[in-house]
Amino acid sequence: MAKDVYAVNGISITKIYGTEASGVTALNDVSISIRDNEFFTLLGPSGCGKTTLLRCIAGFEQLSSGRILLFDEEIDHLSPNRRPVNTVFQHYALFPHMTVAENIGFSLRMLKQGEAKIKATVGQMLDLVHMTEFAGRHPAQLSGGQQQRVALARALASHPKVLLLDEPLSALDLKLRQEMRVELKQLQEETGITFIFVTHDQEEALTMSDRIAVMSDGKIQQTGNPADIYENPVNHFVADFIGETNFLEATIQSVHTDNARCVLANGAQLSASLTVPKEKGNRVTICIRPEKISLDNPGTAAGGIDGTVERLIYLGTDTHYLVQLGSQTSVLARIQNSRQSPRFKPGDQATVVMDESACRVLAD
Amino acid sequence: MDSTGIAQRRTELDRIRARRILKARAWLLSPALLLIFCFLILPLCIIVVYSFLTPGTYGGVVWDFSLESYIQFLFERDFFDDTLAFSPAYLQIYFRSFVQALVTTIVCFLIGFPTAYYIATLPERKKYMWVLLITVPYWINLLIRTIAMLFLIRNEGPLNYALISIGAIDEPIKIAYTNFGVGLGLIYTYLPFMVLPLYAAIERFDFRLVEASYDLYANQWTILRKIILPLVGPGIVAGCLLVFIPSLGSFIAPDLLGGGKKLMIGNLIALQFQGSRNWPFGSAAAVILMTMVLCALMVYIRQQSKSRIPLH
Repeated sequence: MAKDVYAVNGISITKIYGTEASGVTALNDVSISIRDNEFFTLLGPSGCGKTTLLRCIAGFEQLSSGRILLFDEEIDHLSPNRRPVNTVFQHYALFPHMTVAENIGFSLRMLKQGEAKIKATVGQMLDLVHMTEFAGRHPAQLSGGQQQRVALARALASHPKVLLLDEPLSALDLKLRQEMRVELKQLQEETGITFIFVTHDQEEALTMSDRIAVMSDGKIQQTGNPADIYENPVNHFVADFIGETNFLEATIQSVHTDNARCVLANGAQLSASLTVPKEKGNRVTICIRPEKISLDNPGTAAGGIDGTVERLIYLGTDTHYLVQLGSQTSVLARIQNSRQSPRFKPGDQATVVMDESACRVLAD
Repeated sequence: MDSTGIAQRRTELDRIRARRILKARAWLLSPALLLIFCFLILPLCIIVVYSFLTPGTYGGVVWDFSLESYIQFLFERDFFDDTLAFSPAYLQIYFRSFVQALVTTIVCFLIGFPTAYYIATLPERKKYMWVLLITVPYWINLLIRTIAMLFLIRNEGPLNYALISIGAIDEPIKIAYTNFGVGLGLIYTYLPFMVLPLYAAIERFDFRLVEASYDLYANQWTILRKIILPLVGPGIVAGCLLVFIPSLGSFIAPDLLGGGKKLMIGNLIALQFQGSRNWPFGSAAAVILMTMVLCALMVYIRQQSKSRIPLH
């Protein structure tokens, strides 16, 4: 079988700002393979290197070491205006002295396409982002969401091989952001262009992406599809950064093929799935999502851990219970307010039931 | 009163209030308007009127209507038979001043643009320090500064002295009382007028646009032509006008640094009110200069308003 061709293949990318000796390492030996026609998200907190990686692909930054291949072709020696890769900037960077149509047609004019062809493509792009009636306006006469659409159309007009999106939704208000998520995903599917999307917003990442790479400290922590990232985080950082998580300190009592029996600080025992090599006696961290925990009245469930409800937050659809398990440990449980689910008050005794498959021993 | 009645009353109240505020704001302008009227419009009218009168023997004017000043500007009247012969002498002065002002503007731009660019890309705090430094020359009187310059560049001055003593030259370089000296003085005087508007324009310029256009297949030259110049352009025009117009009519630098040997417009006008005592001709020369500048400005403004675009 032929070797896989990736849209973007980054090999051991390192980027150091400043001098080698006293510089800041923005990317530390990052390798990444992004498939063609994929909605790929780089997710991480600010300063994790995600934007630097994007700028390396766009050509705005020179790599300190490593290589980037675009559909198996070296692009390291190419300046940004020679790479078939376009960027949608965080603040759009629309040309204020040009109309919407001129903005969208800019790249085509730079590529010396014929006026008739440019006009046709601009028309298509305007149609694609539903901005046809605004073709003659200037960017200053548009709302934030409209500017966003123009920026997208401008970047897509030359039909780049890869589209880079640098937190393009962060300047929009919540409602618009949610609408644009759907539109972006549709746009990616309609155009068939590989999208590389940078964001610090986990919800954005989870809802739009085919695959996500979680980054921190200039390294990729985990790559996988949204469900994989959310449900099987490999380490403490990923589990903590994405969604809400309970972390339980425990000691391994016995190891089986794909799970381990662990003891919590208060002496309670529970089973957790094990995908990393650990041995009996290891101190480990177990993570479990609040919605995977159920609460029962004391004495009704087998294998549960008894605790005391300390606090509760009522959120309409669900209730968040903070349950104390012994002196040092407490867990957060998110219980849906359905008709069947039991209700508790602060101070009530409750049995915490944590399913083995939902508990996960973390690598670090 | 029903609710619609209340709403109507409210909008009416708002309208009255808005009108009152507008009226109050007009008063804010009145001191400036009064000043401009007394010391700009009125003297201007006097100049225009004087240019159509007959010169008095010892200066001043005689109230007889005459076009003689304007005729004198273009023609020479034969002393014996009163026939008119075209004489380009005064036009030459205007042309010389025009070239001088143009060169001054170009050199100011060439020096001013990198300076403004440098300041505009500094961190916030340093920026203001530098802008303040740019204005430092204006804390000292122009006449004093020009005389100081004369002392520096004259044949026996420190510049020539230093160059001779290090053996770079044998004879002093003649800078004072040359066109070059005048140019130097003009550039020195008007450079800040170029730097400040350029700085303001470049500072407002969003450098991310450069990155965006570079990403969209534009090369450096195209970026300069299609992105930077159109957006910084108004600042360039403002700077050039602010240097060109005062250079054209400048008086102190040509008078002191040029030694008044080659007349510039400013010296010509001054001369008519002092030595030659021909007030109408001096007025006519001033009116001609003003008309030329106004025409050029009007053409420019006409063009600007045609290609006007909202930027913010």
